[in-house]
Amino acid sequence: MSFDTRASRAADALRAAVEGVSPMAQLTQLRQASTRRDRFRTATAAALAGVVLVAGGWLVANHPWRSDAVAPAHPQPSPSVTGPGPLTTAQAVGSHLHVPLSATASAGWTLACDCDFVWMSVPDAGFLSISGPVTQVWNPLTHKAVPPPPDYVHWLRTHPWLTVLSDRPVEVDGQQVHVLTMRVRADATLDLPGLLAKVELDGQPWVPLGLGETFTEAILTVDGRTVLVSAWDAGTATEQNALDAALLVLLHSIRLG
Amino acid sequence: VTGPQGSVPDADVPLARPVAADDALQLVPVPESFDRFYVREYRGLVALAYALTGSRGHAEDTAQEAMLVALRRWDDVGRLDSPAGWVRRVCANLATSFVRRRVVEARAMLRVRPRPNEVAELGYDDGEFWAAVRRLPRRQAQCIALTYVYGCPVVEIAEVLGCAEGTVKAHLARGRDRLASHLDEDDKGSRR
Repeated sequence: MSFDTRASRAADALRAAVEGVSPMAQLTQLRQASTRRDRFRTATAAALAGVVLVAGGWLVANHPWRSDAVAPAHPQPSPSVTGPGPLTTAQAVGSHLHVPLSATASAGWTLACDCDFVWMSVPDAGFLSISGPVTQVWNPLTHKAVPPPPDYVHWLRTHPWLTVLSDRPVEVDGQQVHVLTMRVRADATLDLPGLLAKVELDGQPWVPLGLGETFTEAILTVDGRTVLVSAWDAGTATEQNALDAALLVLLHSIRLG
Repeated sequence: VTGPQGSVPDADVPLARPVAADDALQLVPVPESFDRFYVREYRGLVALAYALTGSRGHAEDTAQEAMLVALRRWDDVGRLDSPAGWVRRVCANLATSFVRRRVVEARAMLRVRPRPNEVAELGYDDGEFWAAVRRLPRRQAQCIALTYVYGCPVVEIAEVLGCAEGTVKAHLARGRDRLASHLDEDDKGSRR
């Protein structure tokens, strides 16, 4: 049997396999899921905004620049077994990263992976991840992997595939870091969509992004190496706000060393 | 090779509505409704995702996830020249990206009730063929899947994947060579 005959037969079998799928039923589910997500996102955004306000107020009241300030005690999450699934309590993550960094995943988030990278979902908002150290970046002009630039923030700011929407300074365990919200330009000329940086991972190393996608990234330096704390996959502005608030909560929980 | 068909025919014909502009009536294209688009494209996306993930459950989740992305951005996506090409690209990328697949799996995990599986299982030979496709490099696998699942010509695959026609031709040629060699080895192995 020729290759084309076999391929066509396999494609016919594939199409026959999906004949029983009912688009109308799935469409109803999609609409319901979308409505539920919208409601949940609004509630989450409001709740997270409240948390950030309270946390901000607490930080201002207790910051060391106040002469009468007492060094705040960092909440220590209780160590527990790390496995996939929704978290009922806050949980320490990051013990398997290739850099000395620990963080706390909040209750309600779903921890998908706490290995050489940390990846979790904020239900109905998007995803948060902590990468391994950046080992290479994808040169957008030559389309080849090259060593990471000395100034990763500048590299992002001047990247031809990206539009930087905002750049905020945030303090992470005493380190001033940049938090950049970026959009992958719709006219980016990508060989493989959105490959920006290669990080040190045992599994698939490239972080893919889609055309037009908006994501937020905090760029940390840990032991002289660049580590990315990212918020991504938010589809709407409301979702992005909720995700950015969750990212701030995650960043404030990070301890270096 | 023809692509899977939904129940809404001829939906690729541009729709138009008359609007008053200055003194004359002009025909301005309006986006197709999302529901109509969904019904036409959904089965094809499930087939594409099934080819690229090899999992009946993840195929539906991946197709649904791609459609959810399209729904959220429908104001923009619906005005594109080819919303179908756009959603096929999202679906192909979701299905072949390790990280993105984990996203879909996590969302599936968050669902309270499991969905009944409406996708039938493939026979051994056909399953082996698509398993060999999945062992190809990502882009080659996407090109092969789009060629045979949708019957897309090279120019359309290039548009869907956002790369040059020459690149698609190269991926297809290399992919076919590797596949033929994989399948040949598998056949020899199964005869031993």
